[in-house]
Amino acid sequence: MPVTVNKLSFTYSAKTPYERKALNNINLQINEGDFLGIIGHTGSGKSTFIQHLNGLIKPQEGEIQIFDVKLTPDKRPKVNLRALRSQVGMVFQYPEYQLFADTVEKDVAFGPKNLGLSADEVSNRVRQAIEMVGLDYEAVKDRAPFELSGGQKRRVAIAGIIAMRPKMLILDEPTAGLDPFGKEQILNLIKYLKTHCSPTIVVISHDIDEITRFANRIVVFNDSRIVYDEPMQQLFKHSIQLQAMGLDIPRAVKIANALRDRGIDLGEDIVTAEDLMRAIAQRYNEKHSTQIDKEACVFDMYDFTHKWLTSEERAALEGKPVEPVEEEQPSGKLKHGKRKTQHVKKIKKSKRGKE
Amino acid sequence: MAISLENVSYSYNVNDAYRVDALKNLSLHIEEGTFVALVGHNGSGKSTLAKLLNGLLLPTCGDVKIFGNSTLDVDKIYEIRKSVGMVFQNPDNQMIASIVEDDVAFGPENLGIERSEIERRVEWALSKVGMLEHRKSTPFKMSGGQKQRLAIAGVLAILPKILVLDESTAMLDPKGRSEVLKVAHELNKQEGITVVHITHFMEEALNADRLIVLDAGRIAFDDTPAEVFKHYDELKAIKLAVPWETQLAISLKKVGIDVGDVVVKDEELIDRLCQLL
Amino acid sequence: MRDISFGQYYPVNSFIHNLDARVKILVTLLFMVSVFFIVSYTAFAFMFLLLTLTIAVSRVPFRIVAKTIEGILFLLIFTALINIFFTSSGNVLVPIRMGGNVVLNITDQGINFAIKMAFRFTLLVLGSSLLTLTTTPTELTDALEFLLKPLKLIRIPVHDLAIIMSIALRFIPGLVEETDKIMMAQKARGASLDSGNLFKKIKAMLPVLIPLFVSAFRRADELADALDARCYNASSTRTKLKVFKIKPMDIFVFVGFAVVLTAILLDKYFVGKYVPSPDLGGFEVQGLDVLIYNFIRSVVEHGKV
Repeated sequence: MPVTVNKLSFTYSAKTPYERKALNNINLQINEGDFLGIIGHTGSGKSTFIQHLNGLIKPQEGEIQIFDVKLTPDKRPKVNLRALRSQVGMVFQYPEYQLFADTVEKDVAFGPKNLGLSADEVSNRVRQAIEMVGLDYEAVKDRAPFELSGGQKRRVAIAGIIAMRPKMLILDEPTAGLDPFGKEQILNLIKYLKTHCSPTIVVISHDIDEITRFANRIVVFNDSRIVYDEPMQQLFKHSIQLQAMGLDIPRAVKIANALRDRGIDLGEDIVTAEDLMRAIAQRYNEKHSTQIDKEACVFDMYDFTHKWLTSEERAALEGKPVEPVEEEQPSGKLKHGKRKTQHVKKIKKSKRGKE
Repeated sequence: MAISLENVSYSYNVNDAYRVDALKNLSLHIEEGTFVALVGHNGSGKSTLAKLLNGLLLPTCGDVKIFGNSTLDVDKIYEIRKSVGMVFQNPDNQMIASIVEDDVAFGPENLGIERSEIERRVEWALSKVGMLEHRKSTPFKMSGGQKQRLAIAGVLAILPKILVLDESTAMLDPKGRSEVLKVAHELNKQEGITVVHITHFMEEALNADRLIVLDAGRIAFDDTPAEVFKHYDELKAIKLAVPWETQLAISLKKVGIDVGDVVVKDEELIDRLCQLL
Repeated sequence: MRDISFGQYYPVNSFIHNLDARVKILVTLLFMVSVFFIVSYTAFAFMFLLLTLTIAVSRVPFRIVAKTIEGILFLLIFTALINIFFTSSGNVLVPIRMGGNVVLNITDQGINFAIKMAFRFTLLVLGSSLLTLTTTPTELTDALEFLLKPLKLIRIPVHDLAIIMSIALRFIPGLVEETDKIMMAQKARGASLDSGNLFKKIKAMLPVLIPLFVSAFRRADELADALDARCYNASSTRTKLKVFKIKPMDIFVFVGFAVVLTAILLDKYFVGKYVPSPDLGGFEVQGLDVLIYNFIRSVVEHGKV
């Protein structure tokens, strides 16, 4: 069990006029392999909560067990926070604002270096992390992070975290401020990281349609408490309550609810666009006796086959490491394609070796 | 004509190797009272265009005219800035004073307007964005949506005829986005203010009178939103997505369920589905 | 969000909070000047008494006001040590030898200087933070702009300075928050920001300082655009939404403080008068100071024995 939180409470600026309760008796277990979505208003306590998971805030009341580390309000025994932070990776909101080194490579190396790893291991991890986020290592390693585009910067920042090879990854609003295409890349990257890097992932997001794309479980914070903790398919039975809290529900749920109000019940467990499409297809088949294949119902906001995609963009979209592409590329960006394949192979091998 | 751009080009770093041509020979005319959504992915030149509209940037070639006044005319620059109110992306970096009403008063104070008139304007502007009850509070603890509405009030107090929202919704959560959008539409309807809403979210263009899509410094589409959405394949090719409802209709059509040509609104979609199912 | 520190505005309703900001600034200035001119312990005692009463009236908890000292504690101790070790006048209490030679002397005069300097610093910091604790940044800048108006005559851009200050004050909470966030983010990457010697510490802070500077510049850039967009400098006759109205109570408070502070300053001509005297380290003092001087001497000398 990666995380067990027991009766956790936290108050900011206690005993001043600015006093504010941020967490109130939080109990939560995060299981190995969870893809946990956290939703709630600004100020509902969710950010304070995840900062606890990384030992950035010391519990005031209650305790947290994170892997083999136990955090309590007591001063002793002293906790090895660095060990904790190497196991729990934390990607803050707008992580690109925390880039500081003069090259991408140095910035990504900051985390692994702090873990006290050997130079070889550090450079290995840096290369792997940069490729994992769908960037061309040779092309970006010596560039200044500030020269990159917004989406690329964010991926470099994420690489800086996964270079520490955390067992659990926490992301706070990972797509905030990006354009739809950049958002799509990050979402696919997160899915990819789930299978290839950190088996347990926690994501905070305001955008419920985004969360439902990948979460298997959703926790709702309201007013410093956890009000719901449910498997994703179950949560939206509480649509009315969620909306009363001022929280959004997925658009597919909204449509399904509206149709139900008008006498067309498509079933309870519609959450994503594809769920909705399949339910519509089934009903349509029944009514018009057609044979629409439910598997053919795909909701593709983005078409990954477009020629205009650079190989790295395509890789990020598909959630795969960069593979060399045969077709001609402008400006020799993929000069190093050949070498890259080797790295990819090496990485795969080393992964297998680890397991 | 509220805004007219004639063959406007803009390049950053014109004279060195890092030259970037952000806008290329672009012509555009916007009539008074329209709500224009300007959409493009990052790097399409949309923010450059915004900054050209009130003379924060001056065109490398061509001419930008606001109600007939060219931004190149130095004597007219404050005239132009008075008629073009601009709200920027980051809600935290636009507030000058620490108290709401002081901040809203900043613009009119700069123009040397009489105190009683400033008071009237502050009250009017704050009530237009629904923030009147916060006039004495500090913006520090407010939500992003509230801060951006405040920023709108700040420019409204100058009594602009044009409101430019330069990606003002980009950093907001869905709730904040809809708050800001609602205010912009109300100002357009009730006060007749011309709105240029720059965004990368297609769904924010749904209720606009006109949707202009920028790509690589050129205008790719310029039509009503419904017409533009018909080109969903081409839109995808310039890294944009059609609104969710439209995409659903398209995806359903692909498997053989025809819910109509271009669906842009929830209600339409639900009506059509009710007929079919 | 972090705990409040360094004299941020403390929102309660009190007599002090409601005073005209201009009066508060002037009184604080008077207070600071007085702090530099007083010499006797008696005068210091009165100053502390005056400050304590004012804090009590302001309804800002002593705990909050006292917290502002934390920030200058290092400076306080440092200057005190300098005074103790490098004052050569007065009676030698403890000679410090190095290889048989006396290199430094701790004198009674030095100890007194050190204590008084520490008192001065404490009074200055407490007094000025009481001003910022009870006055909103906006009031403060408006008042400063008003008070500095005469400088316009010698072509100092008072209004621009006031805007700069107002913006600085407005951005402080944001920058503090940002620093906090960046520190957390780098800590999450395993950075240890507070270990090692000074040089190491500075180096360790780079991952925080660089993003902070970058962000400050970005903010400045965006803010400049926002200022332009709102017609900054459009008219030479700038108006103000808020005008100051002086109340009788403000005048009363101002005069009251002026009288009290003058009285304390005059103290040196009565109880705190310094007369050369061979007995007491070359100086003779009166009143409360005699007691304290003798006390310090006996403590040090007994301690030596």
